[in-house]
Amino acid sequence: MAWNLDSDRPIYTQILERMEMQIVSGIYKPGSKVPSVRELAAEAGVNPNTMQRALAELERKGLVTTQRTSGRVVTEDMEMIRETRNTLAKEQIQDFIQRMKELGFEKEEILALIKSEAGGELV
Amino acid sequence: MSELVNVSNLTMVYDKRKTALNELSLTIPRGKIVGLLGPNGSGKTTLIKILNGLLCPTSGTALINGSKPGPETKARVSYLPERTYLQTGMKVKELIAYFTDFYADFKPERAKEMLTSLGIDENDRIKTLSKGTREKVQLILVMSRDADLFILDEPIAGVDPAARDYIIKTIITNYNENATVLLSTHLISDIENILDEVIFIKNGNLVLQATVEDIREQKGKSVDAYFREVFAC
Amino acid sequence: MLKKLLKHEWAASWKIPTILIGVLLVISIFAGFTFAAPVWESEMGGLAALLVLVWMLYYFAIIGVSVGVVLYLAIRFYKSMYTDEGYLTHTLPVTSHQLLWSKIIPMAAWNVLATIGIFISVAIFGLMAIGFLQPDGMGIWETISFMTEEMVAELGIENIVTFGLSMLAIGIAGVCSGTMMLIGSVTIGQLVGKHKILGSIGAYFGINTVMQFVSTACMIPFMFNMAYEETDNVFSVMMPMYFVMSVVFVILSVVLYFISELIIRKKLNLD
Repeated sequence: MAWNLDSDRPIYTQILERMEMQIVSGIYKPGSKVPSVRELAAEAGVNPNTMQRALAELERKGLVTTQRTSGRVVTEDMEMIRETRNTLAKEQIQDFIQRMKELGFEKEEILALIKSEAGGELV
Repeated sequence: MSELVNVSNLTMVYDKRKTALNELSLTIPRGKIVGLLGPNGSGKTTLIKILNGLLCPTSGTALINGSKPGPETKARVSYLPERTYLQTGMKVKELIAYFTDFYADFKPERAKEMLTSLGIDENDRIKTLSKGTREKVQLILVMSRDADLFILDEPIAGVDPAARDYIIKTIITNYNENATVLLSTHLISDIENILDEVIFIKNGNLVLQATVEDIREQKGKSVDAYFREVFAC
Repeated sequence: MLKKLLKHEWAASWKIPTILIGVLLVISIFAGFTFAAPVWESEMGGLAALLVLVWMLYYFAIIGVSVGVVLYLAIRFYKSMYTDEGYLTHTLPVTSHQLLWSKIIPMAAWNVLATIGIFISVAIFGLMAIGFLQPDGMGIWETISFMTEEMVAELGIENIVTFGLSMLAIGIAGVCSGTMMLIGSVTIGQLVGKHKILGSIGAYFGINTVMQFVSTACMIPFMFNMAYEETDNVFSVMMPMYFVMSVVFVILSVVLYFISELIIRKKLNLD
């Protein structure tokens, strides 16, 4: 099975996260066609109804739109994609901070650590 | 009539002493992939045989599309038993002709396409094929129907991981939105991602019927892990 | 659906009985040629022994074909209905009646064809014997017409027709009961939980005993009649007896049919 899914979290949530990630990171390019539910379900090895629900949610969020001629396509609204990207980034950072706090780091320590660790890359 | 399968107070007693099903009642909706899970001897195969008209229950009823198992239901149910039931003297293409003759919903082109993709020659006789290939031929025949209900008894037991993936893919791509797939297995972790719902049975009784997502959400664990917990010895 | 069932059943089952009967016919011609050998005039004991061996082979071939065809059909019936193949047979969208008829018709047909085959084989053997040996100095056709005339003169044409009809009735009854005994005993054997094949064999002997008993019971009143009324015409007693027995055998076959159908519909239990 191509998609590596956790066994203890709802599949629907994981599919959604993964699809968002693929759109934001440009694996599914803006305006490109999204494969059919069945193809995606087969590729991921998941239930087609669950895949359908995840795609419907992406559609509700506006990341995917349905066109009469070509089925589902990835949105070309770059603003929307950027926003989603920011949201995902924020979620990652919050998760990160949460875990650092669990390790006993203070805010300043965390910032200093990030600077020293990623310094080369950031500057 | 909205439910595809309606089982009520189904009881099966073998030889007047061994109870395989005990007043079992459940319903199975349309358009779902449902896992029938339970330890060995829990009554899975007995239920499956009754739904296919291979066994007459001691009491209670099992209805498919509102009818008792019989010629009308058999025309709408596609069944993959644990056994290989293919006549060994027949060629693959003769089997395709056989299925085309008897099942109005059988799609020979679909079967041929799948055979080609697996590199199975239609002119081969069943007796010349390996056990694994025979099982694949049987799965292809069963999945090439546009049935209302697919009943697959242990479809992935005893096959290698590559074949397992192929079988799972075949199930996903071949069933249509209005059809239901009922599959029994003890290899839950391999198959739980493709299930909508699971039915747990034990000693012929219904233990639980729930959606996979509900179990994961509410218990915070996989169906496989939850199954182990429920049936812990 | 019955047509389709029959088509596939026939396609799957015609080869072996055809081969068996074909081989028998070849052997009967082979055996018939022994009469052409001038062994009767010579002193060659070895050759005579060889010819006797050929006749024995022929005799066993006849037994082999009549038993072989029946056994083959019984095993085929068992395999397609009650082994793993039964999982497909019993999930076809057909009724249990259609399923049974799709087995009965080819089995009965092969019973008849095997009988005809054996008859032809014996005829070949007999005619070759007459042709080569010419016991009364006559050819084949002369002998046949002579024997026919003798028979008509002896028995009267009416009795011969009655005799023929009664043989036909017995033949039909035999085909029905022979077929249904196989189907019935294999099916009843399925009720015997773990020893189904043994159960089938037991059922076969059970049904056979019942048949024997019933046919004897049918014969007794006619026998008494014959003993007390001192009739000079054996035919007038034997013929009605044959007809009554035929009817009784057909009735027993029908009973076996309904028992088998009920078991398939209600008591099927594949392993």
